[in-house]
Amino acid sequence: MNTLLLSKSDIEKLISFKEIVEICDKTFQGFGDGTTLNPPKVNLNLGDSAPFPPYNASMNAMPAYIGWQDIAGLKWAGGFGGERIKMGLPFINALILLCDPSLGNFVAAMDGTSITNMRTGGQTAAALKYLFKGRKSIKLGLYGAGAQGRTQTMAISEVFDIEELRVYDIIKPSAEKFKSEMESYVKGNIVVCNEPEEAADCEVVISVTLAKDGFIRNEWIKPGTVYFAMGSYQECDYETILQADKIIVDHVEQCLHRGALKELVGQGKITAKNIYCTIGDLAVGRNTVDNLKNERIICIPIGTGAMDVAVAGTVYKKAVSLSMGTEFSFDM
Amino acid sequence: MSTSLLSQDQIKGLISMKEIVEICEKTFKGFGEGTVINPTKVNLDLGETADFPPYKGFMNAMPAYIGWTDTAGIKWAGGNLGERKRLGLPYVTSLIMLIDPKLGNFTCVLDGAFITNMRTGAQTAVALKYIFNGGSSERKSIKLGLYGAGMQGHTQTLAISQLFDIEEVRVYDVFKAAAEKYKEDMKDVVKGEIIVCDTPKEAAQGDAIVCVTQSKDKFLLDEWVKPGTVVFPMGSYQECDDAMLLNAKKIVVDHIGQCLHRGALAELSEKGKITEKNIFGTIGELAAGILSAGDYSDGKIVCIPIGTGAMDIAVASIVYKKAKEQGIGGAYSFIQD
Repeated sequence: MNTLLLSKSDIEKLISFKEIVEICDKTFQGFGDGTTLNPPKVNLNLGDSAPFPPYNASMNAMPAYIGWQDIAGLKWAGGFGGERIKMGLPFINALILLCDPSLGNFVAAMDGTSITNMRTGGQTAAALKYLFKGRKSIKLGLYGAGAQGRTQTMAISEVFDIEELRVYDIIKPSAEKFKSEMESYVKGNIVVCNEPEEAADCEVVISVTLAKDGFIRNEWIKPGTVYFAMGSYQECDYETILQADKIIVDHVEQCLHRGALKELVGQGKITAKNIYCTIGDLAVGRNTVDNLKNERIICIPIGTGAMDVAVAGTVYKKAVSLSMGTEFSFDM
Repeated sequence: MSTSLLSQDQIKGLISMKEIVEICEKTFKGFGEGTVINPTKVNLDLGETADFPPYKGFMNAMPAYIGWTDTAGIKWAGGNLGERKRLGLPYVTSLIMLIDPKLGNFTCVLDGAFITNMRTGAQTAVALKYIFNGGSSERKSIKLGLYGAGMQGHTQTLAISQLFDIEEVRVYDVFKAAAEKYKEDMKDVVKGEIIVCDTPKEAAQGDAIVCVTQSKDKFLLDEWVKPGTVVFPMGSYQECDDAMLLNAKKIVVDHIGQCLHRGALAELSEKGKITEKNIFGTIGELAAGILSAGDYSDGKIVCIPIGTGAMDIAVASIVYKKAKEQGIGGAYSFIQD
């Protein structure tokens, strides 16, 4: 049986941020109603945090089944801090395989890098839709003006008018470049901040950085703020997490083992009991956030394979209907 | 950067069972020495044991890094007893992806079904070399009992014949016609006689007994099997009775974490009757010379190579290397720029 191969440029032609936000929304609802299956990802350490092998890298295997699309898939994705960065290639590399769950045949193999970047924005936008229900515009603070900062902004602009965006990057020219490139997605002003604290004075604060030093301070985050800690490491100080009124995550087990909560989990200061609910619970209305104005909420969509597989499922269906891609028979 | 694509037919032309046995041996040594990294596989249940979704299938994600080939990869493989079986397609469905661990680019995507079947046989052959033949490369004669005359029964036999002279096979299959076909197919591989057994008990004789069935009914009884035998319950479920596992002189596995959660040991492990403490060691430790199976003439050794992604990735990496040298396979750029 044939497997459809799709490249990054095919994918980027086939899907828009508007669709990705809708797909993330439906897939979060599937998490909430139990029709999205997403076992915890399994990590292959290639020197990311082990001495052997010495490649400063790791790969995550992220399988999922998406009920509303009736598709199963696997993203195998990783970051490579060594040779790959030296050669000027993007940090992340990823492939996605899709399988027909009823027949078990592989229907598609496609690039996973652009889907990863786009769905990471889509997850935030969908979560904001549940948290700021009924709102038309929001004010956004952003740490990290790279590719992820852009996709966050583009996805959010599909759901809200961004009335102001305050951006901070340790490399100021990156923030300046972000400003000139993203103006069409932001209704209001893009303000390039000189100090990190200036970007925290917004109702939605997003950090998409590789920081490990907990640079975002608890005292910067005011009541009425939802803070999205998106990085793989420690972007905010411990107090920001410990004093948050609610912690909301996309996947409890994964969020306890990677990203913003990991260190506090290691110290026994945060456990599954400290998690208020999942984004999936919000999506189906099992849990609500009613007092947003007076609370400080941390939301951690660490990223699930389910989002990748769901987006890939839609990309695949569109590619078939438009006769795009290349076919290969692996099982012949 | 372009990714090589290899089909099952292309793979078949690129690698022999002899090579696969050698690859598995090196990879077991790597397990023993710590240069093979093989996290516990992660299962996606598509109705094999859960109610939803209702597809009587599952998919396992099996990533690994192989030191001696310096390759990382993942096999995504599953079995499906629903629609797939109804259409007469093979039970196993599988794809493998390889990366250059240094650069992080995807070097190859290839069929995994043929490699899975072949390496499953090769794992047994290597385990026998270290348990039954003390690690010696000298060819020794061996008598086999075999349950399951399907694809896996064939590849088990073919693999064992690479390292041993098979002087007898007693084969039993619930479908006798399958056993008869096996006898015909394998007559050049087996030096001695192939005896098609009418009852399961008749096949429970030999130096090694290999079970490659999908049975869930614990058909192989401890009382049938003499001391001094190595028993390989290879199926996904428990093919032998509890006594076989509880009375074994030694239990040897390929991967402790995986073997406690799937296959022959899963049920007793869940009941707390078998724990990590009951496992003597791994095939890797035998291959690396860290452990020795020793004399087992007064008891039985139960050996369970449940199957590791590492074997698949190691074989796939050699297949890819040969394909590149010979200019075989397709190519596709998942990322053009």
